[in-house]
Amino acid sequence: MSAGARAKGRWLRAYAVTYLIFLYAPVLLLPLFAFNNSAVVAFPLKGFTTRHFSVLWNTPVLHEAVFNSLYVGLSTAMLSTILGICAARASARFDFPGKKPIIGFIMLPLVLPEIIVAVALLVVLVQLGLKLSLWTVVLGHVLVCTPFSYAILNSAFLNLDRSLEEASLDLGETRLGTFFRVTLPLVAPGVIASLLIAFTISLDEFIIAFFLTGTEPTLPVYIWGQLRFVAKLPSVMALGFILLILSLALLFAAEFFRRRSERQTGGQGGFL
Amino acid sequence: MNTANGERRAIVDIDRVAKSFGDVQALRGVSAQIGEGEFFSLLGPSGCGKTTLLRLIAGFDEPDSGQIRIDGQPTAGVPANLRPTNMVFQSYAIFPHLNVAQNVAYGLRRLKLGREETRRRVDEALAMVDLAGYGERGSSALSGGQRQRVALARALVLRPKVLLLDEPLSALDKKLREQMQVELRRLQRAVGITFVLVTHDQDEALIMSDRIAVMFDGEIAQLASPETLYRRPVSRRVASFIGVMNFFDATVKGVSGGKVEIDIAGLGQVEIPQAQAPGGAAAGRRGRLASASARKC
Amino acid sequence: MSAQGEPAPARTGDGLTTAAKPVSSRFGHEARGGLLMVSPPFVYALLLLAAPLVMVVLISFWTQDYLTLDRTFTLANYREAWTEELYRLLMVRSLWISLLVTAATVLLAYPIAYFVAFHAGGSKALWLFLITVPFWTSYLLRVFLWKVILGYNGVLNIGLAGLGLIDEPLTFLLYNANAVVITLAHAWAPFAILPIYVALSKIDRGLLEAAEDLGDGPLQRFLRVTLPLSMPGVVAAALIVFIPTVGDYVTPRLVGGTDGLMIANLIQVQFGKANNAPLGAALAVSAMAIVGSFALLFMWLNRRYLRSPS
Repeated sequence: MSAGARAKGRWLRAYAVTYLIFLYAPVLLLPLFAFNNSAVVAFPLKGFTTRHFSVLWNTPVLHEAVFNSLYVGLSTAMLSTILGICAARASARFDFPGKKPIIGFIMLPLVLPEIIVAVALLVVLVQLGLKLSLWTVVLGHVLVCTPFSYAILNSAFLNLDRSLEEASLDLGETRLGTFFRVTLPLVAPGVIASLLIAFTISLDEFIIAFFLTGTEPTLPVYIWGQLRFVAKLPSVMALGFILLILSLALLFAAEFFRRRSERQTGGQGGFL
Repeated sequence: MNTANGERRAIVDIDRVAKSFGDVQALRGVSAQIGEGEFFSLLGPSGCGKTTLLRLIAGFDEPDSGQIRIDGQPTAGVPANLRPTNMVFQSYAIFPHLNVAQNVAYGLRRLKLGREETRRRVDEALAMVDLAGYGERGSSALSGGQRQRVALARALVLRPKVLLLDEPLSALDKKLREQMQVELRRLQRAVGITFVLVTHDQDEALIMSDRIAVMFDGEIAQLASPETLYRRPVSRRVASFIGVMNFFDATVKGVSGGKVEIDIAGLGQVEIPQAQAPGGAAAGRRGRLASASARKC
Repeated sequence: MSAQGEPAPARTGDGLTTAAKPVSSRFGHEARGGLLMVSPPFVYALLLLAAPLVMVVLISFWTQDYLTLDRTFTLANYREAWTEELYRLLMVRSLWISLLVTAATVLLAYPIAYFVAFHAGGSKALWLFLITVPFWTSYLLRVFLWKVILGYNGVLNIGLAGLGLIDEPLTFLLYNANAVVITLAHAWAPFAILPIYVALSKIDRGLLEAAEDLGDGPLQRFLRVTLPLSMPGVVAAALIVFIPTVGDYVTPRLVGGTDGLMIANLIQVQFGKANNAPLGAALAVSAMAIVGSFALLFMWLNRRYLRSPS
């Protein structure tokens, strides 16, 4: 590499680091205010406290919201992963007419503004006379999470050596048996990654939940309500910090399984 | 060797099988009988249709027309898992999430043999391929040669009527490949199962097979014993694919007493046994001579 | 043995359909398997996305009659949506903010993607991971924290005052369109970086060396080879950022003040307090139509003038 290219690399690295600071700036403020011994979220900092966390402990409405979010998140994760498995399996293994538009349509919620998805679902649910509940939120969340599940699972299925399934059939196993004895174990890390990602997205999703939830708020809807009250903000920061840690844990777990999936399904190469 | 002929009972009967993929004709009406207990090779350059034929026998694809009978039974509509054939894949397809013993036992589960019997058969199969004691090894800890043996044991443990081998040696280095050629041949003799080998390596086919079908462009160009293929290839294309040879343009001067007298420009007149001359040799014809014995000149 | 005249019969006699016919025969049972497999997610998307979108379009031609809907066809909602001063203002502002966000995000993202693709060495995966991590933290709180950063007594003002760069807190930071642009550019950063990165890392290094060998300096090489070849990624990034940001609700609401409100806030009001779903639907359809035509125009311009490889 020439001296010029090295210099360019240095400038770019400096820029990249600055950019990362920009990306992380808001996130880094969370712990500062979560432990800041003050009734307002503002500088200067006033010393260390954990009292904002004990406020959370004593807020039953919050606990309900957490429970609602877990319920919605788990249901969404399961459903969108099942749908993602179907779509990924179909696109990785089969050629069928209309494949591109069909897959494209399934991926569409990825680029649609969420408010459009939310409004459209709301209109239909109201027209059908269905009552808004946690399940209507799940319906919307599955729609936006399936593209992510599909993307993760598609690479897991694509990495899967087709001859492994053929070998299973050749050895006398049925198609269904092959799916459970060979396919599923080999894409399992992808499945787990999909579950975690879908759960994380659902846990954080606000707009659709805002439009489609009935009387039971999910966690983001609850937080939205709290943001209006200045006095509640420090405890919201504490809550945000807990969520941050939780999301990071889930994300690291998902990344771990995604990599393992790559290793496992791509593990044919090495002869060592 | 007293094996090369068609007198055996046909275990695989391929009858005018054709198969297309899109607008590519992979097989153009191929017929052949593979005898019971035979080591049969499908030899040809890549894209000649040999792997397609193997996959049709295994049941991974269905022919567009024609039919394949295995042990007298038509196979149309019979899925791969219900056919009495097993395959050694080019990639070996060793299940990465199972250990060696679990890989070998994979197909036995459907037979409901009981734990002891399953174990006995697995050990037996592993011993047969010189992998005794490797059962608990993880499949990722195997060398290329060991993977191939596991694939063999996994297929043979089911005692198939036909064992299909899809370029099983192509992933191995030269030394190991030569060793495995001998070993595969020995193994085939020992178990007495029909082996159908797909390969693009003429030496491999010549060393191991009882009979070889040389394929070009979706057709069998010649089906014969290695000896015959080597001594009397039916066409220049077969000849040049089979081995390193010299080609001479020659004119047939006369045929007499089982000998063919030919004139090769620059070398003069030579007499060769008629049995070694390319088909259709007759006086006055100009033709090309390509045979092993011509190299003696 | 093998007879030449034994190809699959009757396949060539199909005239016009010869090209398609063998394909469908090859994929006959494969096509059925694939369609069966893809049907659960497809049917789900049809029922819960396609049908509702059609419904929105339908309803936009109806009228709200207190608690019920008057189903007679009318264009009144669209007339209102397109002529009312406030609605027009919000629509234009939404598009303008989105365009600014798109430009800022893509321009800021390109060097990062370039750095990760060409200069990150063995730590590419780590960089990509670091870039995506903030995206997984609560969106609401990220937006809210920008309010803390940009506010009158915010981090930025205190920091700048501390450095002696300003005497009085800057007031143009929060509760206007600037704040919305900054916050959205932050929120959508990974969506812009990743497609550009993918496009850049696909470029054959041989091409770059060839350009250099043919006499291009680093700048010409970038402008004549690297940039054109990475355009598909840039286009994808721009569309991925532009389309959803037009409809963002949270950011304008939290940091936009009254000068930063966007179309989504208006749509929400129509479906909520104002109880005028048909007008809300008409606004939503109009917004999508405008965004869609912008996107198409953008793709057309790109294909026409940049001739980016597909």
